[in-house]
Amino acid sequence: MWRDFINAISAILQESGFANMTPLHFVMIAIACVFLYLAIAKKYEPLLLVPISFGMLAANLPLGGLMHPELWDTTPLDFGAILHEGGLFDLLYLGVKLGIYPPLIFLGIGVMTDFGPLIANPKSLLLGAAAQFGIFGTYLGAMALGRFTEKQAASIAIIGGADGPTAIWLTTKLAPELLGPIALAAYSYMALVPVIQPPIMKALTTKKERQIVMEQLRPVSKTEKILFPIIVTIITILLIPSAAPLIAMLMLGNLFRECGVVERLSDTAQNALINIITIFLGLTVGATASADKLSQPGFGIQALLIIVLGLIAFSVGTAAGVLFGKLMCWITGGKVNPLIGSAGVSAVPMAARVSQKVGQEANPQNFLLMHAMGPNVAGVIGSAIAAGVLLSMVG
Amino acid sequence: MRTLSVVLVGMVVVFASLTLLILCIKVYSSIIVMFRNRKNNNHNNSNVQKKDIQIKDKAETTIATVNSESASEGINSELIAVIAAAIAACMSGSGTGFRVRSIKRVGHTTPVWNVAGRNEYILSKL
Repeated sequence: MWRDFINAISAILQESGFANMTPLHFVMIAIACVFLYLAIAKKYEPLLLVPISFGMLAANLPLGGLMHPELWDTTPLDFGAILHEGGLFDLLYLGVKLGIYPPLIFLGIGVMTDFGPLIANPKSLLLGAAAQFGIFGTYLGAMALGRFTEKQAASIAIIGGADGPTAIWLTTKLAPELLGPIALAAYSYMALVPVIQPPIMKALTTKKERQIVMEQLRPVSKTEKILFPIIVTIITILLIPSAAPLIAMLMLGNLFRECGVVERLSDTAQNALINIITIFLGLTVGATASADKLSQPGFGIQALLIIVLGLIAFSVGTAAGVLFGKLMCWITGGKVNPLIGSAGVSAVPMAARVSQKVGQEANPQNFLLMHAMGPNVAGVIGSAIAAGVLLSMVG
Repeated sequence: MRTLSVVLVGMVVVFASLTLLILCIKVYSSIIVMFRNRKNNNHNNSNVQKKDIQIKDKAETTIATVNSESASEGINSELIAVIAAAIAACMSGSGTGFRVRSIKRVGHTTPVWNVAGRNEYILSKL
């Protein structure tokens, strides 16, 4: 009986995670803890980084059975195997793999976005377009390195759109094996926008340009705000059908907000729904960063290159927006402050606040926030269109 | 070569679609503004002659009253401007069509908890 007892205890110990840890598991757990520290102590995009890092942590504890990366590597996917053998995170990951969660997050973002400043000054859409050069410039750079395929390069490039859901949506479709590092890079850099942008903005503009005070925006009527999402949906989806999921949900959310007759739906979309989807999305995206990926040759280098390329994407996008802002300033005879160009990266509303702050440093009486919101929300539309274009050309 | 063509085509398509959007926004906005102006003109034309003189006199008296009141009661004219702007922002539409005749401070009738809740809400938006 004593021997049976010893055998039972040793069997339990052998089945425990401790006995099955490999050095790579230690590394992944350590990385997850670092990101948890950044999210909680340094407050780097905590709403997403906490679930992402915790998903990474939980999925990399061996034998937990929460996530089975091998189920997702088959082409085509074996949904029967996923449903029968999948763990908790596998089943929740279906929402990411099938492209459901990012458009639903865009629904919530649409409800929270006010397109008034954009409607009042439609030229801001051009600044939103210019900043998307960060995406295409990075695509060029990633392909030039020679280490990435076209699809992987496109997924890395979309980090430059500064749009988390768009980056996840495109990466899931084009390069799901890179989802973990790309999502982490995208959200980390979005949190670093106030650090990355100001030096570039100051380097590319003169003090006189930063002091330009812009004309007050005209008031926008309710009718215009209601018609905007309907017209944008029709035109954009007819032009670029591959961008339909993101654009349709973004504009539906905005219509909920502006029409004023669906208060309950508007309230749900911007509160309960977006919070639920954020939890599921973050958790499962983090869980895809598994230890066995690290063991693949070259993955570590790829992850490092993704981090560097992500920084380049953000910087080039900011620079392109500011330079286009300078062009618009010259064309309009000094009516446009080039600083609002940097808000074309779609990190709403952080990038607009950065434009406001840098503008106020040059001229304390200058309030650029609402002017910068125009390019900022234009960037959301621009990055969704850019993602659709990349998907149709490279996918 | 293919990479360059993806970059070029991508930027051109993004710019072209957003330019098309700009044109559509400008077109429908100007249509709506044109309809609104036409409606306002029809409304004003029926009353223009009689009311013109009255409105001008009233406006002058109001401004004069506000100036003297503010001087005597110590209400800052900047405060009046801010309150008028807040009312205009709350009202849907262009915020015209009303005139602030008097501003009176109301006594503290709100319960303390309501005041605390209101302050918390305002601070959360800052």
